[in-house]
Amino acid sequence: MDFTKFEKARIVGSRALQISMGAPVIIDVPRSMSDPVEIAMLEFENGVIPITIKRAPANP
Amino acid sequence: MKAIVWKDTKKNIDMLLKKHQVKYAVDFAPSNAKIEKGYISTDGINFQFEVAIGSVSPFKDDADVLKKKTGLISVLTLEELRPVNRHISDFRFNGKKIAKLTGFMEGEIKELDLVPSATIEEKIDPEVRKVLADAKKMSFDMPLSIAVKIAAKRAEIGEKSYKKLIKLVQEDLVRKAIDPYEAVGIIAAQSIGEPGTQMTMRTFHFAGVREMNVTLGLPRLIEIVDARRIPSTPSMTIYLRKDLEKSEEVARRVVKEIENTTVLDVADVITDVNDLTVSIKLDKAKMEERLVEFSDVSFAVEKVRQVNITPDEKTRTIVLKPQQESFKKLYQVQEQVKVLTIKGLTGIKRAIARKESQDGPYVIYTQGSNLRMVMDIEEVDPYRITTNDIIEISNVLGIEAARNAIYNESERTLQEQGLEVDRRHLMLVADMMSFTGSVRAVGRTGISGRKSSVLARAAFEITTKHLLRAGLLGETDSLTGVAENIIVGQPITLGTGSVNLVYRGNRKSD
Repeated sequence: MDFTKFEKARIVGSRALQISMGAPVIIDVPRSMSDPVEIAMLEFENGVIPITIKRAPANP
Repeated sequence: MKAIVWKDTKKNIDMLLKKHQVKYAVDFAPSNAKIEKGYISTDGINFQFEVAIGSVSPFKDDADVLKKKTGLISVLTLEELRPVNRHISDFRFNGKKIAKLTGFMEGEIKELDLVPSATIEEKIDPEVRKVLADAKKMSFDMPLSIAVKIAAKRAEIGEKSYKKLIKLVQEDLVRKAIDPYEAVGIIAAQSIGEPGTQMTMRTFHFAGVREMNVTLGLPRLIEIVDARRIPSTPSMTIYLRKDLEKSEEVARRVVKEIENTTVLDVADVITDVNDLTVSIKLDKAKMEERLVEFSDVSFAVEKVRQVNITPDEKTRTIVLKPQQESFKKLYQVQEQVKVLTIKGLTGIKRAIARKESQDGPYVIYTQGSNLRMVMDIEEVDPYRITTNDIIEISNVLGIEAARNAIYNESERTLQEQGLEVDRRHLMLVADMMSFTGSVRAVGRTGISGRKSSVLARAAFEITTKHLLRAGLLGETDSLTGVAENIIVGQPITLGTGSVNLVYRGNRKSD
């Protein structure tokens, strides 16, 4: 699924919050990477974040 | 098609509306021609109702007959009343138009010959159509203007580059598409507002064609957005029919036909209190400019009642003496003469025919606007005629035309100032102003003032009044807009606030 820029922002944002509060990271992350937002972005690009979105049905 | 048209009171129409089939006794005897339709008007100009007429019979005093007052001649069996929107100019009475209806008349509806125009697809060049089809195969819609450009270069660049080009266009279009839930209204407001600040400094001037003024710049833009009933300088651009547009004679004739000329425009009106007369002294220069003959004036003056008229062509004066010797009557005659129309259409104060280029067609520019009547003139091309009165366009041609007019007018106003605003912003404004079916202003009387949400309206203006009213009437607020959600402290329904996150567990079954 193609995400809009808003959807991407929400997913990455929520995931970064989880990581910042100590959630286990799903993929291997380089040691030098410590910013939760950066890690969340990496996870998003690899499509491993366990979050998706529910869209409103299109207008009839 | 023959039809009976008449003017009736609101009360009578309400009575007719209540009953589905009714016998209606009237003081009018229709001819023997077959009549199926009737049209009813309350003001004699606009017709609000169409009615199917079942039969016409001579008048008999039956119990089930709905009556008008006196002099009843025949009974019309009316079957079904339908609301319509027709104008007096749609009818012909013995082949002639009339300006206003007073009682009953038998008229003929001007039949329109419908010529199906070519569909958009048919108008497109086959080569261009191929390009569009190729784009369609890649599941995207290519704008026509781009397709035309590509089609022109296709042979030159070769098939391989052509395929690549289409691909590039697709990528570009997808990248530039606005994401759903983007706040496009705010962006449009900023994109029009910023160039607007530059306009203030440079405008408030009028650019004119001879003595003709047209409001331009910021004042005009405000006027469009406010959806004023009458613009401060209404004007029309009239094109003549293709076969006549180069004829000076025709252009002059049309100008003469539409330009509204009153007695004061060509003459001095002098009231002599001693002799109790009103004399019209015609000015030769003014008459020549307005193409008015002495006979035109003397003919128009005949409309004044209860006066003795003595025209004198040599001295170009017409003396009117009221039959009744009183100052009051004299004053009335004087006032009536001043505004007496010699010729022309109401509303059109001035008309000038101009050639755009050396042997180009004549185009007529007017001060004042009367779209409906001008469109009706034989020599005029009704497809190209325009007016800057948006409300008039909406009344005559409908809301879609008004929407295009809002767009064209605002685009042109900005263009004249040398400002470039993306057309999509203007289109959004035009759509917002017209989507309800009537032209609404942007400000408090229009879009902002009539939002469906109580809280949004309360946030905009007169908070207590809106809240009190909502409380009394028990209104509900569905909290779908932006202002409402900010008030109650929820994320707004735009941008990231519009996204619903869902946990996606158990990845294996995915």
